[in-house]
Amino acid sequence: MLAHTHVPDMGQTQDPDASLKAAYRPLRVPVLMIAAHGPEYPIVFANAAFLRMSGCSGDEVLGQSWRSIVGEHAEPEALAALEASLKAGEGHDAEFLCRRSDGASLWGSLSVSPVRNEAGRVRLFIVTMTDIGATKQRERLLEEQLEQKKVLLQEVEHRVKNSLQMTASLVLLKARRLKSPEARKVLQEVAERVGALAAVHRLLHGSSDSGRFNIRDLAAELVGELILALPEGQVELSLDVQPIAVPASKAAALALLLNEAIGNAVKHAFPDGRQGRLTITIGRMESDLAITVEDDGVGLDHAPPPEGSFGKTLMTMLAHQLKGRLTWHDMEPGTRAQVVLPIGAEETRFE
Amino acid sequence: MSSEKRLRILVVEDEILIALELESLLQDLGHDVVGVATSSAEALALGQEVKPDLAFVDIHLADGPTGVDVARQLAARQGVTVLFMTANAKRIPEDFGGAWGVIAKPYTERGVREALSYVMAGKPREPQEERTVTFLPFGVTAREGSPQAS
Ligand SMILES: Nc1ncnc2c1ncn2[C@@H]1O[C@H](COP(=O)(O)OP(=O)(O)O)[C@@H](O)[C@H]1O
Ligand SMILES: [Mg+2]
Repeated sequence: MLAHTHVPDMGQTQDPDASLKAAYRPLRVPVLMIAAHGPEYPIVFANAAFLRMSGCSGDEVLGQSWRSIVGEHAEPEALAALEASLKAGEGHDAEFLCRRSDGASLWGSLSVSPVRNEAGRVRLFIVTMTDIGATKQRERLLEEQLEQKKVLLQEVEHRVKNSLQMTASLVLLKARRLKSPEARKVLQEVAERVGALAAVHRLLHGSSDSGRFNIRDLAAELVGELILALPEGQVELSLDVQPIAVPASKAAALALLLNEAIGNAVKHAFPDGRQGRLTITIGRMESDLAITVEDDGVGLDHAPPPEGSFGKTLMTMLAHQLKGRLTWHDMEPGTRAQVVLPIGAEETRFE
Repeated sequence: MSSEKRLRILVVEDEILIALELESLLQDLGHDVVGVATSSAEALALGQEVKPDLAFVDIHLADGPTGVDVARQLAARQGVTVLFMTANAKRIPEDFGGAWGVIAKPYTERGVREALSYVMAGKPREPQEERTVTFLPFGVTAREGSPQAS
């Protein structure tokens, strides 16, 4: 015998689901029951919590197709998927924009469970609904805020780059107006250093991962610019740089360091049209990152360092900041500057 | 440079320091800067008046982010070859607004040189040994219908 015969009669005699309905009626969770009769799958029960949420009376709901609970904005694919589950007699979870009787809509999370009779046939579906409007609202708000932050970040990047551009322009404009070659040279060096910092910003903001940059791109960019100071063909350039990802926090120091080392070779190693070769090697050396700039030019000691020279001092300072070791070798002929940096866990190989 | 042709160039840039420095650089490279505009209206008026071969166009101008429109009009109506020069390349539309390429700011002398030789060659060269990050050509498909500097 079926269990329902033991449940007090609720007025509708012979309802095989009376006991289920009695159990769901007082629940605080909105619950519907849908008859397993396609194609309409009519609503045969709605508890008070559901009626409160939907703003409908029982008469407005009962007998209507299950589709009447979702709004007209529901995605057709989502509706079709739910319908397919009903047809197959399977459970289903989905989120829908549902319609309230007052025309307002609400986001509902629907959970559909089939109920089978003793013969194993699905006789109805129980649908529980949760109002997830607040969650959706929060999601939307977060998305909006994220979008705003992205725009802001872009704006800041834009301003950084523009300011660096203006700094370089300012210095170069002044340099162009000076008669003294010494003074011009000093200002051009300042602009070059600003340019090295600018290269970092271009590369960082161009890459998908703003937290890291590829040292190979940086080296290629800097040497490409610095080599312009020499007439084409005078010095053969050889670049052997591994694609290694370095954290953005080290980018500025590395860029300035490379700029000084390469700049020195370009400016001092090959005077009076001297031919030669400039080799830049960056790669791993055991647990270190080794950066080597080598030329076969006139050598460090070809002349006493001029008054006020700063490049080599700057390199020492930067190597220190990066916790690295800077060494100079007389290659007879030529000069080799090498910086060996401890390679952190953050540094990784690209690809 | 491969070509001795002097290009007549219009600079559209609202930061006067940048415009002046770029002007000096272009002159050093053997070209004539025939005008400097800081707003979209000024750019279009100057375009009509001086008929430049080439225009360097920033995206942010004195009257807002109007550079893309300026590029479109200069290219389509006035037959000017356009290069963007901007720190905000993300603003460039998918069809490139009729421009031939973009020079990223902060620009480098090499970026400007490459852009000029690209324009003077009149057609894209094969992807090069090492590409600069400062100049990015848009390629042929992007600029169909946009005239050549000649
Ligand atoms: N690669 C090199 N080849 C030959 N001489 C060099 C090289 N690097 C540096 N020097 C010499 O060392 C001097 C000091 O260099 P630096 O401190 O960078 O100052 P600056 O480059 O301003 O002269 C240079 O003036 C030059 O004489
Ligand atoms: Mg130096």
